[in-house]
Amino acid sequence: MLLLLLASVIFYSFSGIFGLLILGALTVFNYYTGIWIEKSENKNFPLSIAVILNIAVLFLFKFYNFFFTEVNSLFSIFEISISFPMLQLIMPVGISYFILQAIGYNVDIQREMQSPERNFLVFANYFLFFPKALQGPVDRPRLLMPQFYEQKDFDYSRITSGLRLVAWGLFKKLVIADRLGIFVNEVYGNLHDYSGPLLLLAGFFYTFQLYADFSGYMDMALGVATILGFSMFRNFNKPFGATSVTDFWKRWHISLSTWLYEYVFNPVSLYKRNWVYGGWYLLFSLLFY
Amino acid sequence: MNHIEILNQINTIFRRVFENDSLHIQMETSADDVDEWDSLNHTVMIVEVEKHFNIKFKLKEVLSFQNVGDMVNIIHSKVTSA
Repeated sequence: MLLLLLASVIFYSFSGIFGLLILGALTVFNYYTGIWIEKSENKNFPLSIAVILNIAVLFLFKFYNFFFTEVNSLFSIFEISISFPMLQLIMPVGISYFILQAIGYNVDIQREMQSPERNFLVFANYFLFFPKALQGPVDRPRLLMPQFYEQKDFDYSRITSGLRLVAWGLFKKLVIADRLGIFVNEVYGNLHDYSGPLLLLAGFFYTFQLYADFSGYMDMALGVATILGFSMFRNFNKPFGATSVTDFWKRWHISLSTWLYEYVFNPVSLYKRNWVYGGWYLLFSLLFY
Repeated sequence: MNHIEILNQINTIFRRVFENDSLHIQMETSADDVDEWDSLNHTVMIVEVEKHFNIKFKLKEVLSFQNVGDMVNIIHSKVTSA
């Protein structure tokens, strides 16, 4: 387990020590908030601290510059001489996925659907597990965490099936997505030089490029996890076989849409369920799910 | 009121909410078995069931429902203890 953690730490360190330190600090923070939530009488207070701080870190790295560029330009229109400084921060790799999972972990403890993990090695291994670092899936701690306690023996068939998944993912990414990308980039880069049918074809190809790229990466991530003896959340389930738009979203980036359903839509909609027949409720539902 | 009676009354509510007059729910029925059972209709159904039985579910109870049977059990315990 120490070796696995070391592998994850090395993986993250490729994108800089700063990012690794931020993720390390977040790991320690969430380790203690989980225990704090379980011990508290009023679980909502420590949960609020955990959620607000995690979101604040995400905001700082992902949205701060975007948000304050807009605010600054708004101020300049009204000739207000306040200007927020821009930050030169390098975003830690996988921070969005990390934070979504951390929020889910803390909420699950508050809902008593999961006990806080007291073995720090298991906890850190889960949150820094390198196969899901770059593109997810947004796994649920209650599903993946217990697998770190299982004995992992050498299993020929498991390893070959993992390798097959990696090879299939590579094929989707390098052969399908990147080949379609050549055509799509050419057309999208010179829109005025091409006529209707080619534009339509580029749009069509782009859909498949996006799918092959993302699901190819996912197959590689699941394949590496399988080789190591872990099974992760399946993120795609033949999305183009969907029979309706609702069905499509149940098959595309499943780990994120179910995360939004479990931790955003469900609690708010059920808490405010008496608004169900009002327009606000419908608007809210459409926004989130 | 026993579990079967509750199930029958819920069936009427389900038919109305999911707009499907031929719906026959069982204790094992879940959202995967009914096409019209999406996230929005789920909330409408919860509100309708609460109104019908004059009860209030806790958030944790609603989140724990895996199938109709789970809901029937909680309704039964609330109705009999009232």
